[in-house]
Amino acid sequence: MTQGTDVLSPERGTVESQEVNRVTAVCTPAVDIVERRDDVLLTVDLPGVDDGALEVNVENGILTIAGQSRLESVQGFEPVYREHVAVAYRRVLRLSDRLNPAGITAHLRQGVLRLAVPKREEIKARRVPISAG
Amino acid sequence: MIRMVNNYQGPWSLLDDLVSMQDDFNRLFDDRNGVSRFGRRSYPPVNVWQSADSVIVDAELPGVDPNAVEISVVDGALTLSGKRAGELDQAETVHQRERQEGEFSRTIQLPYRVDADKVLATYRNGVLRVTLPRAESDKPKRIQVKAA
Repeated sequence: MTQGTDVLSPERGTVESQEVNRVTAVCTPAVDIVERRDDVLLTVDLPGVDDGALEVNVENGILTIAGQSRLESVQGFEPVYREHVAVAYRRVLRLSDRLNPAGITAHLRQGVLRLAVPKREEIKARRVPISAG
Repeated sequence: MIRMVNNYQGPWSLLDDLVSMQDDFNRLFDDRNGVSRFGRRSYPPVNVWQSADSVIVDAELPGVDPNAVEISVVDGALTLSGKRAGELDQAETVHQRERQEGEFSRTIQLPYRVDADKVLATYRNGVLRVTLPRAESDKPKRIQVKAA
């Protein structure tokens, strides 16, 4: 489970938190994908990831989301119970050529990434004017 | 193991998920995407740490308004409850729906009694940290032995 982290740089932790933040798993983050009138909105859960540890790339129509979560320091504490660890999140999606990758906007807030991928102008829904008469 | 709830297959697909074998493998072992709603696994996932003087509970709650999380301590147990709102209402078409939403409540037994009035909560990058100081009355006391 330690392999496959090649997309990410290794440890980012400070000395006391290095052990805690050793990446031990690659994780596929949960994503919601909804289509709106002019764009497609992707919502990705990335708990523990701050914006410095997140990379979003588009190349040849392939969207790659890669982030590394980091646990807060617990110096002087011992683990009692553990359900989450520092992980490398990775999700790869192919964009349709009906989307415009140049116009992607990304916001990371409270551990949730929101990506808006605009549709190309020519396929946006248009209201067709109806002439009376 | 792989859930594609509402996996819409339209006349043309806007986004195809390139799930590699590696990802499938990881899903088997790291099934943190959960089932739809909060079935099977307890939510939120937590880490619990302790020292002689306090307990730390870290709960993964991405996208949850920390002010809307109810934190209560009763009889040496911590309960976190709240609601995770979905964002699908603004959609015209739902293509994929994997993120958990809805109400949650989880109770965690603490290793010792804590002072409920001094509980501290912070929220950063989608992780809620609750720090619970040990109750004074529960701290071990050293008894001085007087020499005869």
